[in-house]
Amino acid sequence: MNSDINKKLQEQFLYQGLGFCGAITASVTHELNNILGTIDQLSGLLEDLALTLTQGDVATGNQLTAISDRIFKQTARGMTLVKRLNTFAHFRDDVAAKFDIYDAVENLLALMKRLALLKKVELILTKPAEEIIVKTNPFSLLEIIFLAINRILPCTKKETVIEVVLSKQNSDAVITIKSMHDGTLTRLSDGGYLRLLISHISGNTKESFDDVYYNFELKVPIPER
Amino acid sequence: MASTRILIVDDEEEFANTLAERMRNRNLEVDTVSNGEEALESIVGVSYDAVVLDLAMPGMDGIETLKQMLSIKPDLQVILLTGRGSVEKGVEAIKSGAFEFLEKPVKFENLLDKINMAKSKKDALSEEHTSDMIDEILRRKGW
Repeated sequence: MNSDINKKLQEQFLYQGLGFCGAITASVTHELNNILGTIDQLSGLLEDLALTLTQGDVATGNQLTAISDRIFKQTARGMTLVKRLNTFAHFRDDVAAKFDIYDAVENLLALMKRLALLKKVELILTKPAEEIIVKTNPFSLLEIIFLAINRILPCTKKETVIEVVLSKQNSDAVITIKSMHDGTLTRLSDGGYLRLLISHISGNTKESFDDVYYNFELKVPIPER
Repeated sequence: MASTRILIVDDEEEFANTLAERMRNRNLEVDTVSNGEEALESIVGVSYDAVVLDLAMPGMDGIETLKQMLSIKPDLQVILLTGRGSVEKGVEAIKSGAFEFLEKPVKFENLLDKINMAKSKKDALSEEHTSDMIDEILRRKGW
């Protein structure tokens, strides 16, 4: 491959990859901002309660417990989100990792939950019957799934689901993404960068749609034990 | 004197409920809804002094909700709450007729100040309309 094309590919990988990270980070940090804002107001509520105490009223244990429970729920929600983002970030550590595909995809879909929610769509993941371990670039694999979902999300019928199914077919791990589109999907996009990523992880893909459903299938080889 | 009546529109229900509680502790009357569609239904039957509206909501977002609310009630005073990185949307909201926009996480005292200012503006507009109506009646009667 000549060096000019190679350079262009590297630039594209960098730019698009940053776009993927940016989209996930923006969505998650927006949610974290909401959580922190809620905790801030709950703390203010405690302050309001403390003020009534100094004016002679007595707060009950129940009042204090109720507010602290609410604060606890929000901090737990925030901690889970940070943990997931951290897991996602660490997928960059190893470009040829062996990993459980379900764990990786489950984490990604949890991070994409808010993006889908804003479009009034739910992301559903079906757990495979058995563990599926792949050996590939986990970040590129997740980016492919992200791009496929992100592409169909604006066209998905509101109040429906995008279903992601993981399965084994001979010596391949198969990731299928299915959804009901809203009629605005008239053609599949070129997907040049997507195809590049797929070849990067030695995968292959099949994409189709009819009047109602959209289907995307990605196959990734499973290494021999 | 009638107490200030507020509508909070935010899909983060715990946030909306907590804000509402704090406002009620300060003798404001507060209703909360979690989406744009419910907000439109609410404003039809009730005269709110101000609406506190989240920008990023599932389905109909804050800007669309704002536009539709103002088409129903042009004098409605709407304070938009935007996340970081959404300042352009905040500016768009002002151009679309919002009273103000504030960045989340919002300082409660700051929000109360804006609500008081919004109520003053709404009261001034009501007086103006009343005065216009009286002038019109006087004109028609030839007095």
